[in-house]
Amino acid sequence: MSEERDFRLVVNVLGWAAMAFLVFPVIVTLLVSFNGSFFIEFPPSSYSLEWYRNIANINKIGEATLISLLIATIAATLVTVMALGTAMAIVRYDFAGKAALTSFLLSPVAVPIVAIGIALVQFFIRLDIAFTWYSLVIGHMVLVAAYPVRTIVASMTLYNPNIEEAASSLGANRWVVFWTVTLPQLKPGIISGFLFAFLISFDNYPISIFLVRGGLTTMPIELFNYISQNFDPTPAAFSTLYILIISLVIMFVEKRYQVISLSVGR
Amino acid sequence: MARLDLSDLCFSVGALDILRSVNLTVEEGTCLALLGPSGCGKTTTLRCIAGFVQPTSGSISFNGQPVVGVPAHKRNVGLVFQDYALFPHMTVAENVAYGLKRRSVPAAECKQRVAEALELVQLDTLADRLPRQMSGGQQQRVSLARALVIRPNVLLLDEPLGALDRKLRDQMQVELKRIQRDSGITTIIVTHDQEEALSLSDRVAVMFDGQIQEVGTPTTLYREPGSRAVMEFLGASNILDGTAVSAEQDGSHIKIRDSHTLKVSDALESGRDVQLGIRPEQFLVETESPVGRENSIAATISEVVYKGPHVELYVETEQGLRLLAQRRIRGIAAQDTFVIGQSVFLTVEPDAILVFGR
Repeated sequence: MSEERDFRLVVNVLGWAAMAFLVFPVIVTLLVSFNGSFFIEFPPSSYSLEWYRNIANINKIGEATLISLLIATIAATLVTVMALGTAMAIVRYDFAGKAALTSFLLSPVAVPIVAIGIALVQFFIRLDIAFTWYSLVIGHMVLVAAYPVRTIVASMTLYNPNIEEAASSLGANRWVVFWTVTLPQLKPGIISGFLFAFLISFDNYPISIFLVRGGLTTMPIELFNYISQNFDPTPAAFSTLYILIISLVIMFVEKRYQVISLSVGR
Repeated sequence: MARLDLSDLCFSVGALDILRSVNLTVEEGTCLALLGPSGCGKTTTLRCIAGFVQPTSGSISFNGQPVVGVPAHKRNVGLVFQDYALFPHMTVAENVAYGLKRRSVPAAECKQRVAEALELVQLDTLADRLPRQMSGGQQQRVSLARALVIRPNVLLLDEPLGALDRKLRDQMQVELKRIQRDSGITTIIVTHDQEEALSLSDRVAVMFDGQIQEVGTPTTLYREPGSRAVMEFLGASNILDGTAVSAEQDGSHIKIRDSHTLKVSDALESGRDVQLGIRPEQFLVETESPVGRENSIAATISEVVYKGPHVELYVETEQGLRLLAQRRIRGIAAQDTFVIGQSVFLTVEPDAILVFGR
């Protein structure tokens, strides 16, 4: 019995340590955002809401957040639609180069993000669309493409392909089978894939930094610019709001669509 | 409802012949069991009829209308999968209504037909459940209702009771038989379970290696199979090699392995090599020597297997001939207890011995 107890002890310690590593920075951010003094200090000696009011003073923060939202929505939508086709091809059919494509798409992207950023900017300059919306959307699509493929492949391998034959024997043609059976069955994979793509695009810095110039800017870039010139806790306040909103969205989606937690590493 | 004809149906994948000229007719409103070991091609036959795969050659017709080339969704075939294949995101009623919606049946009629179908399978009270909230037996019945509600030309059941436990399977057998008879839909049941095949169908087709070996009613197929292979596949049997030694008016004597002579009711010319098939339950097992009776074999019990309603006795004669006999257990008294090493006498009627050519 003592080995059982030891085993549990080790598992518990590791589990709580992992939780602490994940949660501790969030707690620090939260506390610092209510800091009363101008400098970031922990634990805070006094509390205020001043830094929340100061969020508006981050340069172009509203406009940049809106652009980030739009870019993330467009890139995630396009990538998810493309991933649906890719996942079906990978799971259902055999074709030349399938193994290579699968491991490329299903492994975390092996190239450093900064390298992708440099490659993209050179590529877009050649195409003469650098520093435009197009380049930003396409760049972000490259960044997030692997995630929905993974989640949709995962949910496809989980479901019983007989239900499509059952539908077809009941009189549904290829399109109707897709709309009424295939798509609803893949919903958890599609939604979680979209969410991954959206979130990764939304707070991406290293790709965007290469693709924006002038008026075109994104939220993480403006936030970082602010941090590099100011030392006050305003970014902590912004981050706290950001974490709160994202957590609510994820909780809602999890509850509403019972999105299975299809883990993706990067 | 339709008559189903398969003629010269072949299906190959590369160099592998899965179906090798399947010929089969299922009369309108009857139920046929397609029975065979796994890998014999019975599921492929089903998939050809449903339209999921196209045969390499040969024809399939419903009521004389050829259907090869007609896509699956236009064949009006009802299918029940072994794993039920219910739509997990739809309620029971929505599952059953699926086929009617594809046929644009008006809402009121659709509702009524769904209710009727659910009543037929006795699930009318569970219409709003999701499949995952139901037991295996209930899901099976939803699947059946979903297939029946479209009034299919042919109903195809793929190992319908395979995933159910014993007791439920027995219940569903009776249920399935009633539903098939009441609905009068031409039905094919694919199964590897001989008991299921015998008890559910009007006729049984035994399939080996991509071909139909024999078709007949359950009774004739069990009692008088046309070949040794069919006899061995359908239930337990003793197969003995022998040679006809003398012919008589009412039959002939067959010598088995220099040891015994058995009388059969078939007239066979002397010197002909044959195989004899005897069902274990055809042996009369006695502990006293039945003096002066024909076809009596003295043997020693080497193994006793208790099966509830009967015991299986594995016996061996002095000459090394091994046989399987069955004895039904009547009464609660212990006089039917057999022990290993006990001497017994097996007797079989001449007309209970089947003779196959060699």
